[in-house]
Amino acid sequence: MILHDWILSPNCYKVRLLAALTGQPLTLRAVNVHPGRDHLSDSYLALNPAGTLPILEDGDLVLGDSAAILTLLGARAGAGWSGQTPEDTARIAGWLAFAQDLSGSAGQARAIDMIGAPGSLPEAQARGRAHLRRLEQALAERALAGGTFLVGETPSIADIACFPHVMLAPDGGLSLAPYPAIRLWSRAVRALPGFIEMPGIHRLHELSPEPEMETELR
Amino acid sequence: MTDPKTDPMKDQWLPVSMSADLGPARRDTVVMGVPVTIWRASDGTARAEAEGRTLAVTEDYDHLWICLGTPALPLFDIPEARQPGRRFVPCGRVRVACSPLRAIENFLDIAHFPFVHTDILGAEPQTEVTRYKVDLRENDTEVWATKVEFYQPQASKSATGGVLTEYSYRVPAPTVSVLYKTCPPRPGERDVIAIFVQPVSETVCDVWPWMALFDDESAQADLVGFQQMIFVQDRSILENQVPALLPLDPGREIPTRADLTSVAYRRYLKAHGFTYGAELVPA
Amino acid sequence: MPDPILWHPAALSRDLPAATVMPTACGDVEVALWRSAGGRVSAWYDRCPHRGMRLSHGFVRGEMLSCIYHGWRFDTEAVCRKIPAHPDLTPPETITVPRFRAAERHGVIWIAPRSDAAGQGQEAGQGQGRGQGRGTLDDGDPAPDALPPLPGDLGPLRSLQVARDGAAVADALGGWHARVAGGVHVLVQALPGGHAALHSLIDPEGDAIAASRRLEALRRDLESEAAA
Ligand code: FES
Ligand SMILES: [Fe+2]
Repeated sequence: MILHDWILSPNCYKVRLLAALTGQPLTLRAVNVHPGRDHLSDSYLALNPAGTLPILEDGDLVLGDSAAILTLLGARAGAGWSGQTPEDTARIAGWLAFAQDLSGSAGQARAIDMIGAPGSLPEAQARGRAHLRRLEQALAERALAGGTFLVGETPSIADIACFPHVMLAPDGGLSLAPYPAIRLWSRAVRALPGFIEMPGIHRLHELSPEPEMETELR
Repeated sequence: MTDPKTDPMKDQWLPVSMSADLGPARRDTVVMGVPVTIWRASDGTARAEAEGRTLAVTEDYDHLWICLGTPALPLFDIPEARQPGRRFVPCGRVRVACSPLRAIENFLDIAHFPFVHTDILGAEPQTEVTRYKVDLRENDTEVWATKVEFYQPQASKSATGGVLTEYSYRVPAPTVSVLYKTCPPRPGERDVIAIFVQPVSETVCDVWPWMALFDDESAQADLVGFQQMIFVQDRSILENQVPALLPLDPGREIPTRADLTSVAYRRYLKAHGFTYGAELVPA
Repeated sequence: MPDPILWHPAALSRDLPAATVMPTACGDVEVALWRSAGGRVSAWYDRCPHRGMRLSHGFVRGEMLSCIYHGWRFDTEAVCRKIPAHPDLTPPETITVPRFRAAERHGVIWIAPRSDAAGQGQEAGQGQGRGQGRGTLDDGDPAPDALPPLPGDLGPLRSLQVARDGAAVADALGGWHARVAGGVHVLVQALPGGHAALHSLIDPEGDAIAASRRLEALRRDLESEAAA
């Protein structure tokens, strides 16, 4: 599988992260999106007329949308990544749509703030804040019912679809300080075996061993 | 707050755009709080205007530089950039909500590598910063740090394993830093990696990373991506330092021997009166 | 006699598991609130003495909080114990972070400014945003009457942030501690920038999901009143 990728893209990171968590190897092809705008070149538009990344090529199959790619990789991974029941599969579909809205709000705020993408920053931030509150409520209520992840007992593509834009919201000037349930969920995602980071999303350093510490013995 | 009208920063060359992005259409940007319009005239030369005045401009290192006041010096020289065989990699701009001076200081710092650029530029337990040398050069107008050594798991796009990397850092202007590092494919030569910082305000800056490498193999997208990865890892740190302004009062923050470059940089800023983006010492 | 200490509700205990750190505030001052692996809660000025990085972005290993920038480690007394750039150096004990008082009661973490040397530099934490109650015992814990009277069997519900000034929220609710429908107790924390947090607890019979929705409605009301 070839992933046409940009290191700073949250939508590309979704795919890299899910592939890493589920052990599906990807061949990465870096695209110079910023400042090169290579994703709008003729050859890329031929591959994906939408002019967006990520693009996944798997033999004859070409997917140019992160939700579609997550759906494919999640179905191949099994083990609940795409939902175990029709109800959960439907819930996951709802979160994939929500992730799209996050991309158009918190994600847009980040693109405006960080690399000068067009649009109104305060409006994107206001929409982003509303979405973060919705996610916080959902996760808080999941936690009250004993759950850790968005759907079902185990992580699913719903979590992976939402995680990057949420974690990168501070890049667009949206603080995550007000959201305790999001904080606990983000720790649970980052603690998953095989987790990989992207710029702006730190790993949990607390999971690495503490180098020998002499002063502790005093 | 420092007055942009009097701070000597206004007489510095400040980056405002990649040369490649400059066209006939006028574009607006902001430098030290002043709205600046830039474009490329039909004769191919770059132009800049602010407050109805024509500004001094120069183009080099793939970027356009302007001066709000009267240029104190010609644009700094990076002699390595004139060597044949180098590949130039402008990486686009990244906006950061921090003081332009904090952005430079972070670039001069290696002790953060294991924690911020984990498994790339550094990794625990190899966290030690050994003694290195800091001096002022060019009549005290440049800060240099040399013999800076650090263990790096993946020092560059072309590196394939951990190496002890040797760096030199150079601050040729208050918002520019150039680093020279071991070039794995060409021992004896050094890769040049720089950040050019555009002070938008005292607490917002646009950072233009730029590289001049000996690397015939890597795709441009990989080189740009590597540098963007490193720089954006720093961004979340830079936006969370308190205060946002760089303190020049030595009592405000505690340096160690690993921070010699930063100490020299702060002294240099003070000595030259570059206080735009600095926290002024309380009287 | 010095001003009695003000205790501010800062978080639900449940939201700060072992070996984690989170941001909060004491009056106008940003605070890093953390719990060691062994369970000890500490509240510090949210600023590393090295290069000013927010400590709430750091990480907890064992009984130490590490700064994310250069990994300086601080013990539960806020004394720097390790500087990774100089692994063989024993840091001078003078490198410390100003501290607040922290205590846990009723499943809530409470914080208060200190007046002693360990709290130097945080005077601003005193004034703004009246806390819940006043007074400390000699060991620094809250005096029994310093905290609002809460039944002993409440469980954690949620903490929500409201885009409205803490005093105005307390006013609208009829106090810094209020009982609302559904067996829910709300504790108001004033936050910087004209915001407030509602830390809520629920009695064991209550329907937590329904209560969560009512809190969302309460927040909508509080914010639309402010807009009106
Ligand atoms: S800023 Fe905290 S360790 Fe350097
Ligand atoms: Fe860095």
